[in-house]
Amino acid sequence: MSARLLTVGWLTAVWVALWGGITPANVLSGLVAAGLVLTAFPIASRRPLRINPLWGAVLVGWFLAGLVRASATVAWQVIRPRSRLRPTVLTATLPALPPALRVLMADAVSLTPGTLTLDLIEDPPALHIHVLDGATADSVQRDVDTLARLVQRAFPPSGASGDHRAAMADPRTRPDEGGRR
Amino acid sequence: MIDVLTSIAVITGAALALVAAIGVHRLPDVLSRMHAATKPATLGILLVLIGVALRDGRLAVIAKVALVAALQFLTAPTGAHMVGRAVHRDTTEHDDDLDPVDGV
Repeated sequence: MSARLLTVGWLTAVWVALWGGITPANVLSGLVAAGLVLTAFPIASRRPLRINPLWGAVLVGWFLAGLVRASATVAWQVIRPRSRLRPTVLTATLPALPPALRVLMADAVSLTPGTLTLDLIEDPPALHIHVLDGATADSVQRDVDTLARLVQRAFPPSGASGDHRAAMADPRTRPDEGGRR
Repeated sequence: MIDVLTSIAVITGAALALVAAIGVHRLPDVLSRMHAATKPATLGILLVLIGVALRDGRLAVIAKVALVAALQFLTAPTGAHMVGRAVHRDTTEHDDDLDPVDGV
């Protein structure tokens, strides 16, 4: 239930940011809008992710540095007169992560140097990755592993089991959330 | 000082957006073009937004800018992922050659 309140909270914050001012009318209408949105489009999994602020900051920093490097690399590949691209498609394996974190990984891989996520495979968890500059499967797997370790530290597993595997279960099968799709 | 930082951010951002556009035109196939459409374009928009936030400085504007940046970071790779997946599945169903998408 608290997870739901949290969702209402940040949806309201987005609403207030859009209107550009914290006034009672904005906050009230934001609360109403958030409630309507959550009723009309219920979210399947409301299991909140725990965030480790320190590793979260490291993850954001690593990601931004990767984005700058990726942009510079692609910019050079675009403007250099004779292009020597060797595009290939590789597969990199992922550790067991809850769905939200797998999506985060897929997004982050797309914005870091040389790689673009093509497909997310469920079983076993893996990413199909398009590589622009002929990087080897080993180097791409190393990058993905580094990112996965950062993601796991930034979002430590919650729950009694202490393992992300528990959160891997399909949200539809969880008793407290069954039938909410 | 703020003006200098704003100019650097906005000009670099606009240049990256231009490079992204050139890349979409110049790179050889759909998947390579998605690289250009995601990374430099996203960083370019981020830099322009930083410039706007620096220049204006009002909390309401900064909040909106942060919202735009967050949505950009969510949607740009997702869009590229969707296009990439469609091309990938379409080409790998028939054969492993990525060339058939060339020039689409």
